[in-house]
Amino acid sequence: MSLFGSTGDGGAAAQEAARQANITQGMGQIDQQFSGFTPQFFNQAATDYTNAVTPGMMRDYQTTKNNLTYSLARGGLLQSSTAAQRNASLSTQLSQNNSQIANNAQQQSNTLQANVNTQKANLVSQLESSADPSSIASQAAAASSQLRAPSAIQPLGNLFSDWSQQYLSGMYGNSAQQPGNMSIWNQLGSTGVGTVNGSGGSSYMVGT
Amino acid sequence: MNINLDIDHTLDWLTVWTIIHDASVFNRVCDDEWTRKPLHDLKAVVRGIVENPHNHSLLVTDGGRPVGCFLCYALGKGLFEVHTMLTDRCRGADAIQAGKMGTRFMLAMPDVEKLVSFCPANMPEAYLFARYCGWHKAGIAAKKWIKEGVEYAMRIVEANKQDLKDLPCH
Repeated sequence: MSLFGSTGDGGAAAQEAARQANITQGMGQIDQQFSGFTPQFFNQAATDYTNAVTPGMMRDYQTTKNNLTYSLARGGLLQSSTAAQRNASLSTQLSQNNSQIANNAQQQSNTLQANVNTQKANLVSQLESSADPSSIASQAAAASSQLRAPSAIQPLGNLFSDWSQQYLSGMYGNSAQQPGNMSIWNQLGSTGVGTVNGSGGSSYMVGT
Repeated sequence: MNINLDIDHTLDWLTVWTIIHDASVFNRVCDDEWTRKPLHDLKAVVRGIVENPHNHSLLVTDGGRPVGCFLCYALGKGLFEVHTMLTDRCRGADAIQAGKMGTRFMLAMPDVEKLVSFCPANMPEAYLFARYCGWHKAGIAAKKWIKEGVEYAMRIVEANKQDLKDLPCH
């Protein structure tokens, strides 16, 4: 009951060797189709994401900054410590939004990499089962093409909306009720957050 | 009869390779062409067979010590080509006992319908062994077994689930 026979009959080794040759050929085709998924490809995916969402965020930033300037001007606070504090706060928010976009971009890249790895593993598993390199070549091409297609980017929305809600809504509301007296005083009074430094009368801490 | 003989599935291709490479086995399972091939190639083939989930690899142990194996290579549709490798630590009555146990084990598997094997004419004891284990002759293979430059005919032997009913107790 021989194992290593060179003939087809009674030579499982010959059949196994042929199967392994088919698998090797199929693996080559899978590797070829997936050769483009390099670290540079995934970095580019992250960059593409950043490039796609950053302009919108910057537009929102500019709009928010303009609104802040108008609000401060209406209250005569352009040169005040309030103005400095709110501009600093807005800059901090801008930094946070940039960080969030960078994190999202990395996540986008990681997800894409995971999808590529999963697809490749599935193909390898199928190949080991079927030992059919011609079938696996077309499947690998289809999978690779699908993975290369641009993915839809979920809009982030206005990343400054919370900031605006916190710092600008109160100002609009209060200034509408008490024209000429729009200031942080009223906001502080309405939220009950924060303290007023009574000694100098010019320093404010706004609750966040 | 050795009451310590046992058979179970294995995925341990190195143990299987150790059995196949045993001096009492190796020359009997390699034809001329494969005898000349690098051991690395043979190892790769054995590993491929053992690790292929479609195949069944059975390890024969005697008191926990590996003494042989059966490699059952899936040919599709429930048909498996069986290769028997029993070392000189499992010969004679023990070999027949192991052969019967292995046959029963395989035919009890849900994905196995029929077993087939090939007995080269230069090893008449292989055919006798198959018959002792309850297998029946099914014909002569079209291909030849070439050993030391001589072509030998190969008897085809088979066992199926019907044979399992008729398999004599050991």
